[in-house]
Amino acid sequence: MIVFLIAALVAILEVTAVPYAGVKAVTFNLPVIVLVFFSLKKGFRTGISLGIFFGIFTGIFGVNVLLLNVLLYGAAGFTVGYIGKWFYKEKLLTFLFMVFLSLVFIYFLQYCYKFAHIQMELNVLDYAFRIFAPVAVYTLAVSIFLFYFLKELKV
Amino acid sequence: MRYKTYLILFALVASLIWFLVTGHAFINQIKPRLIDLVRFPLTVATKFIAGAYHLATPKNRYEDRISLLEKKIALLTKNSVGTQEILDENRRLRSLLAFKAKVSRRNIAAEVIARGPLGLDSFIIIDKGSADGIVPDMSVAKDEGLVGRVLETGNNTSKVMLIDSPNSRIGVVAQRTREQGTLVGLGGGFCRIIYLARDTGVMPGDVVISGEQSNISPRGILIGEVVRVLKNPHSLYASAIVRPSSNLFKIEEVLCIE
Repeated sequence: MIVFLIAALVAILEVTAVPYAGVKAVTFNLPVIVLVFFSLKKGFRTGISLGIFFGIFTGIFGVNVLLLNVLLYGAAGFTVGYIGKWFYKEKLLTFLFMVFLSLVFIYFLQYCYKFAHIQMELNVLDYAFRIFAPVAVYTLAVSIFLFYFLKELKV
Repeated sequence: MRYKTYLILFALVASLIWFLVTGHAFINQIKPRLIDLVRFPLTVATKFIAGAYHLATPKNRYEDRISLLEKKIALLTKNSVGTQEILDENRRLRSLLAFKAKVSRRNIAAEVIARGPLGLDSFIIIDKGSADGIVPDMSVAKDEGLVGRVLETGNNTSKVMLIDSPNSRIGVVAQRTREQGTLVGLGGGFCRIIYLARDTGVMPGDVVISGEQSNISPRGILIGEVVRVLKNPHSLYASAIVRPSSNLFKIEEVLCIE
């Protein structure tokens, strides 16, 4: 229950506070950080539930198709929670690796849907360097601080 | 037992997918209502965070000197910080009002209560909805230029898709050459004009405005400036990268134009 309260707070912060912490177009993806943390800690059931919650949130507030976001975030949460048992969860590197993998999965599939389906053109390198790389770097940098902060919460 | 859990999980996910695929119309109706429900916490959070941000951000290069003066007059410093916020808001609203006077169509001012980006989606949520006269497809602009268009309206809130969103399409004209094209969003604060002629005369620095061929935007609203022209000898059309004139990442008040 507390996990979902934290998720609701994260959702509100994502659309109010996080854009102010952005540098021009570059912000960090707070829902992915929280999703990966709790998926690693609590397992794939919490992961898929949180993923569906964040998918619905981004689908309602964003411009993307609701189903796409629900599937992407749900799959990311489930996968991280499922394969997390093969890794040492307490390590920061594991957490950062999972955050990066989730970002790659979510952002590139969203890109393929948006640009291939809607604009009929793919320029993956341009997208990777101009949009994805800055967001990934910023998100990973923030993840370092949030990892220790969320660990201290002892939820 | 374990297989039962997976079966239940599979059934839940399949039902969710079926609902999301077939319940499109229903989902599109309830999305704006859900945003309406969280309007109050979003408004409160945005005002608090916007206030804190403006107080914390240095305003000019003489900050050390100002802080020294502020230390000497402690009571006035406290008032001036609060007054500065009011003055900034006043300046932004005057600028918007001057722009509003220029626009002859019916227009409605609104404040931003939530914003993206979320992934590639660029959007803002404003605090006016159908009860205030906002309808889908209204253009949204600032004094600096066009910002986007209204996508969905709830009773008291509306979702605005920004022009750099990949889903955005606007008919535009290059002001100098009068060439028409379609502006599409690229994400990351940039747009692209497509369907320009292969021998286009558009050059970097050209101003782009909304065109009369657009069914959504009123004509003549400033959109941005061309930064690069792309000509592919193997393509039927040329294209141009456009930087919007409005700062899409710091929007606080907007005007919705019919």
